[in-house]
Amino acid sequence: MLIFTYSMIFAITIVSALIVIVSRNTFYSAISLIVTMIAIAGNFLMMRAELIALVQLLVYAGAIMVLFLFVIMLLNLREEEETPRSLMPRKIAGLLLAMIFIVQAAYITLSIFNIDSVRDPIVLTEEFNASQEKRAEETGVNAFAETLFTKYMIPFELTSVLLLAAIVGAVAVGLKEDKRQAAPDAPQANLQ
Amino acid sequence: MEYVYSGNIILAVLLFAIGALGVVWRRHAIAVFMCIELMLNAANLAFVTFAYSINDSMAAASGSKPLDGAIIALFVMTVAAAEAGVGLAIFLRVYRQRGTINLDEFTLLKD
Amino acid sequence: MNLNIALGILLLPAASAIICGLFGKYLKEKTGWVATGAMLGTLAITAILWGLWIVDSQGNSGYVPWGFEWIKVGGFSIEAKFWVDELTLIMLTFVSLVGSMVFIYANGYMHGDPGTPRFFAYFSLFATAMFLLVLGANFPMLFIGWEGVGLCSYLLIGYYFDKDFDGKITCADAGRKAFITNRVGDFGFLLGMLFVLYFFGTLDFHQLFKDGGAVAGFLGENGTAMGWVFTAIALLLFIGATGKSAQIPLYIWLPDAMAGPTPVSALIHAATMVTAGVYMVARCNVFYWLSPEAMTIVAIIGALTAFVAASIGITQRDIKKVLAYSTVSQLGYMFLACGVGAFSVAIFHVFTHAFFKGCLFLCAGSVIHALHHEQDMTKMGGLKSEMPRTYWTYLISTLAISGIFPFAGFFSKDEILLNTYLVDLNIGKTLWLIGVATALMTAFYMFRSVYLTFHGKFRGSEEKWMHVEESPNVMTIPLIILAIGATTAGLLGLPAWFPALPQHILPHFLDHGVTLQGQHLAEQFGMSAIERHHISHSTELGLAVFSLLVAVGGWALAYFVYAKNYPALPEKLRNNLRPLWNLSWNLWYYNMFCMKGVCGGLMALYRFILAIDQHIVDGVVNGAGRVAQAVGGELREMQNGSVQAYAVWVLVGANIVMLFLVFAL
Repeated sequence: MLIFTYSMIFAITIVSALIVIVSRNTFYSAISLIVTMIAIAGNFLMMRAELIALVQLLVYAGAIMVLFLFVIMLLNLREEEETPRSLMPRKIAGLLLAMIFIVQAAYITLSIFNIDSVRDPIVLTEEFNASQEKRAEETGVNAFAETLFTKYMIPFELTSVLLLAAIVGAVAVGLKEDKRQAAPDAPQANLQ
Repeated sequence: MEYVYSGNIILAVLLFAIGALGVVWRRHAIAVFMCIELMLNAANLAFVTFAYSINDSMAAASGSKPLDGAIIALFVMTVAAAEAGVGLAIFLRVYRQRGTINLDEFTLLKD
Repeated sequence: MNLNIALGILLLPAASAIICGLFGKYLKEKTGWVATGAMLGTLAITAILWGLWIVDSQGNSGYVPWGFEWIKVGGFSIEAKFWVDELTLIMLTFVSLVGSMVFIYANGYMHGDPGTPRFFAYFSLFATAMFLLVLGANFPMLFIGWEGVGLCSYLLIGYYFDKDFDGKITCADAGRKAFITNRVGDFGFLLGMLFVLYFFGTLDFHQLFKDGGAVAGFLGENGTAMGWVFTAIALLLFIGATGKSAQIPLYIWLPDAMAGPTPVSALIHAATMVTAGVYMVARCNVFYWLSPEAMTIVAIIGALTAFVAASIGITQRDIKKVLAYSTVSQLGYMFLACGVGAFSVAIFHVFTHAFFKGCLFLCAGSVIHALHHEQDMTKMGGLKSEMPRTYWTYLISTLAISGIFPFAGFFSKDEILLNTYLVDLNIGKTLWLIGVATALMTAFYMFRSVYLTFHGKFRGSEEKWMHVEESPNVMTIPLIILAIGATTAGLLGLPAWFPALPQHILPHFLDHGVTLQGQHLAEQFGMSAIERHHISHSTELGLAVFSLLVAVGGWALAYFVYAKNYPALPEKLRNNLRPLWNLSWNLWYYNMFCMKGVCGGLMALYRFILAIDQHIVDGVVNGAGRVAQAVGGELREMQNGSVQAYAVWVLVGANIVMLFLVFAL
């Protein structure tokens, strides 16, 4: 049953990700990306990484993608317009490279990832409950919080600075600032 | 259930490759940006998979708690959020100035 | 006081060159007096050096205490050191004395020329280089001076770089000719220097030539087996000397060196530059003493040069060219003396020659100055009455150069001929005959120039005659001083038969210190050196009277042809002796041979190389360029400004990095 669920999630992730890149309509891409994000959250859940899955849903699928959709609607983007430049060589090169990449990356990660040393979350039914408790202790929200607020205290605080800077930056860039644009014209106006 | 871990590794690799492909294929800046998000997600997936698949003896040997990778995934999300905010603001700005965000139109890096 | 004062001789003209060069814009013609002051300063220092020498001759020869290691490469080092000995002192004496006179004279001659500061800057630099050449304690120092005078002669010969010289070439060309011809000689000199370094391991004269020095050590080790080394070095150095001192086959530059202002010619011909070759040969006399073959070649070249140049001088019309060929001829005498082992006599002749040749050139300059740059003797004449000082000093110098008793040239030239006569060589007598014939021709063409220039009637335009006047004192006083030198310098080398007065002062002085070093070495190691016969004083006197008669004969001939029967007889002679006249007038066709044959051959070679260069070398080079261009043109597409194209390359990079990991795992 689990393997069926996992296969479904796997398939959904790949397919929706493919739709993101092949769809000509940016809006569809965005929607498809949301699906991908949710599917990845499902992947996290399969590993019993509940907190990460939750954050993935909230931050990615919820916040970031909504932001994307907002921008897409603001810009009123639909179909990609055709440009005279032929993208075919680039596309083919990208495809080939991506395939080589997949082969190599899979080889490398799987050889690092020693399957024998992997801890199986549900090895045996009788061990399941005990290990379940242990796991909850080990990887639950409490443990998460403990690590985050002790070992990663300073990086965590620094993210707030980063976010603040991002907010300020986004506002500064996004403002309809016509003054600075007008500034170079002003002397010309004086001359005229 | 080991297949979840190895499967997720493969999935991460595939997603990353798809994202990279999208960066090369798509014309729209927003779409390219989404592909970058896809790549970030793939990285996140790999982080979390490695973190959760690590066993006790390995954790003891490496001296780190199994959650380190997951926490890095959190940070990645934070950075992605910040990036999305600023990046999208930049696209808005560019669109206002140039009337398009088709990446083929922007070749200023050539000069 | 010690020998460090000799450095002043280098520093004064160098400082003057810098001042004249940098501040000439403000000093204008005052630069002349700056340069002259510096030159007189060197004269004073030379006098001080003589004083020190007389007080304590042992303590005042040798290295100048101040010096430094200039270049050090491994075990080989070049030291900036200077050396004072008998030869240096003699050279310094006439260079500074004649140089000072020329400098004073130049103030008058260059008056009104806008380029005066430049002229005096070069002039001072010239003097600096010559002093460096004379004072240098080793080959590299000598070589710097050697090249320095070459450079300055180029600059000064080409001083009127915007003017034509003689219709065929410009003054700039003449300068270039001097420079390039000298370069050919320098090549030999440099090779000789490298040979010395290779075989003896040092370039320092004292280390090489002293008792128990490098050469003695070499001889002790190898005996006579390695005699060819000395021949090779001597001949290579002699090639250098032929360039600098204008001997066959490299003499062609000297007559064209007339393109410069006349004081330059005087300085080049009398005191500096051309004497450098003789000085160098005398300095390196050891190599020549140890190689009789090389000495014989030097003697033959010297005699031939003396003869050929004198024969050319007979027909030349340009007064400066006559003097130029007489210089070449006299230099031939000097090398003849070197070749027969009379190095001290060669230097003695250099010494006397400096005075009378300096005087002759300055007189010629005075004449040219008075006639507004008229140099053709057939357009002169009768200047005796208008320019008495110039006339008398010119006449005295002519008497000296012709070898009329008791003027300086008589003693030095007679000494050379005597030594040639005495030398124990198969061709010794032949060389002597050539020398005597040259003496005859010398007297003839020198008095020819006297009669053409100062006697008879003026043959130029009326207008020029109106403006003829004696040159100012600033020009004539140096002439008088030099004429006194030309009269009395012979006292320093009176021959053995001369009664009452001390004899051979200067030659003995040099033989004591420098010029017999080689003979001592040759004797010490049983090498065969050139020997000389001994004859009685009365026979010597007879030979002297004979050469005097020859000179007087030349004089009489010139008087008969150019004073009594001018212009009919010269015309007739020219027509009757047309082939000989052509040969002489066309410089034995040697110049033409150089231009057409050597230069033409070189030009053909050059075109051949050019073709190779253009088609093959350039083909490769351009091909490389084109390949790079083509590749670049393709690669340029990479940088198309599209971020996504760059992303493709990022992917390529990522793949390559991962490829490493794949192979690493």
